[in-house]
Amino acid sequence: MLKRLFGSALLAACLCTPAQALMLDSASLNGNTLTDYSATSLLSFDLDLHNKAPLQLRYVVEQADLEGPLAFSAVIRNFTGAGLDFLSLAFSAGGVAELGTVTRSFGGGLNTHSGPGWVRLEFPQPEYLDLELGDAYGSTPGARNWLLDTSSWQVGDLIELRLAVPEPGSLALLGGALGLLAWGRRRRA
Amino acid sequence: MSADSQQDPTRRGLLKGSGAAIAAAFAGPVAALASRVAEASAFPGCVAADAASLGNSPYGPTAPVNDQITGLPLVELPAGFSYKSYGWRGDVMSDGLPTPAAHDGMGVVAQRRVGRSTEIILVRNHELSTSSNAANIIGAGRSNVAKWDVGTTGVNYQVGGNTNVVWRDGHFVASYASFGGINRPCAGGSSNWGSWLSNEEIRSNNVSSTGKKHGYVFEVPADTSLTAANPNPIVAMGRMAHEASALDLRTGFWYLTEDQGNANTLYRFRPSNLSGGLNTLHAGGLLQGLAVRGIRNRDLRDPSQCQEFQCEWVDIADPDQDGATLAVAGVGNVSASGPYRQAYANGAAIFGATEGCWVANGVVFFTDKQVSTNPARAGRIWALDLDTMVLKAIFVSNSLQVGNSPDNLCVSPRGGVLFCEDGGTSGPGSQPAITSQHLKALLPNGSSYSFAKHNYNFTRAQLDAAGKPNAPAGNNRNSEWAGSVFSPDGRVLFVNLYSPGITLAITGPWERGNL
Repeated sequence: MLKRLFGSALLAACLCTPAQALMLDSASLNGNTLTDYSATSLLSFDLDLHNKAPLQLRYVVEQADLEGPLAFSAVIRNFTGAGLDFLSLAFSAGGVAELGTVTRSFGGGLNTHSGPGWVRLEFPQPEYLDLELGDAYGSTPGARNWLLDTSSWQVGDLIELRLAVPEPGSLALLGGALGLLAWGRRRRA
Repeated sequence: MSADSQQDPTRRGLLKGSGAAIAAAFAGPVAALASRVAEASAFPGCVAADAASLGNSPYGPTAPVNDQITGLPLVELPAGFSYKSYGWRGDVMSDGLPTPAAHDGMGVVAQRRVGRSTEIILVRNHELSTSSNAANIIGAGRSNVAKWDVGTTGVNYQVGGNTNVVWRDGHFVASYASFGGINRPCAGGSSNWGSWLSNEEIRSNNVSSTGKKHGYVFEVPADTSLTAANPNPIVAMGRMAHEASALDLRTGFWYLTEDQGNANTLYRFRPSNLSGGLNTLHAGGLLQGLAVRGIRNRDLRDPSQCQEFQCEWVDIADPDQDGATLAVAGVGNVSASGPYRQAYANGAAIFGATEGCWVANGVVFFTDKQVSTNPARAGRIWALDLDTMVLKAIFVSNSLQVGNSPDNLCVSPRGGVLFCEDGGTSGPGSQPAITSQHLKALLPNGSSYSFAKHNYNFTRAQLDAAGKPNAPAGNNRNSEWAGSVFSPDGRVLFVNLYSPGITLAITGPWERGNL
């Protein structure tokens, strides 16, 4: 009962004030640094990678996030000292409806692979500096945010985004992991 | 000789406080890399020998790599490295002025967040001397560009100066003139309060038509749109043929080199105001020269690899004294600056011609391009441990293939020593001719390896096609590298090709080696 009351109060707050952002609930960063910039109808963050361990970010879906297309952008800064060969993103529900831009600080090629709920970016020449997914800086010419598929999301859902920067040798394992992405949507209440 | 007084703990505390503020701005990966530097030492693995040798690069051999901006293979780099060029001589800068020539010393003077962006500001020297055309003064006609001297010496104006360069999120985005009216600013050094010391490399007693002399150190702020540079020199740092200056963050003391052949030593400047901040150095201080303890005027031009000397500092009473001919024992008559004449009189050591200078973890690293014999310009690199005052020759080259006039020098955040060659073109004796200048680095045992090679050799048609109509055609491979400095996070190496005058940003798999 208390939860239901709290939920109603929260919903009322969302309706009478500017819509709240997709809320970062928790994260498993494994020594990496996250700064969240999510706002109304936008999932956005800066991620400073200090190692190549996988990460999980968990966001709570708010009403406002479902009222229109949800944009996605991110800055991935590579402080690992080694090149990034791949970047994979996998959502526990939904996925990427429309890929926007990927801007590499030092150019180089890009191959994109995607499936239900996941996207894998492959860098033929490793990336040693930064990646901008979408229009995170707001100043990159031609940059365009990604759009997320939220059709299966509901208010209160806990959506998990998994990121990995695997080595080429571990790609087979990654493929297996991506195949297990049907870990289901978790409801909050 | 001066008795080295204990540092005032209050002053040290103040300095540490300002350092902490800067460190906070460079939090995260920078702090992590800095701790790695702290683990480095003054080359304990140095292998004693008559001379250093040329080793294999841990990054592998170099090959031409195309510039990501112009598509031209400006330099050779190891596999996996890439780069962007910017600020070619003659390119129009953000302030509408043409980029001056002679890109020399350069430093990262600020890193800041602008929104989600990370911005780095560099200050770059343009080692220009004089011109009869006043329009060639850097920042001519722009009142917002501070200038020391717009008068003439003889019939010429002083046309050296500085430009600031802005790097944001992996891209060069802006540059503008920041200081002018100085003569031959060669190298310099970064403070930790957002400024660069721009050092004139000229030993002269001349007085210009505006009553000004040259051979001084000047301070250029990171953002001259916010704070214009102080046009006046830091007289207490000496009037001489300056090269580099480097700040020891632990004490607030500066270390300076002088490119005055066979009449120079390493200098220390102890500011009277140790709180740090723009213009604090102008308040004065004590200039001193390096001497070998117990041996007056020790000749250090020809040491052996890993040789050590116990040193101390000797005072220089008048840093603005005129230069004159000096009779140096074992060398003969040499042209000497006023500061060196006084240091020599108090027993200071003799070097060939000191150039690059960097302080890391309480060790002053500096180069001596060595102007005498065996062969000339093969070069030495010294490390002075400031805790023990032991000076060690960590690199002694007797071959231009091993070291070719080591000039600007920097220590990477990972602790690697990188130096810029500015040397000759003909191999001594039976050695092969030198076909290009290198960026070289030191291995822990004191041998060197080549990290990169100058590769600028293009036709007019190639340059025009690349959108560089102002760039000179021809072979510049034997022009010097200059101004090497890493971004605070160690991911990008900024460096200049002195001629034709280009700034590069290089990134790649640094973790494969010691840079």
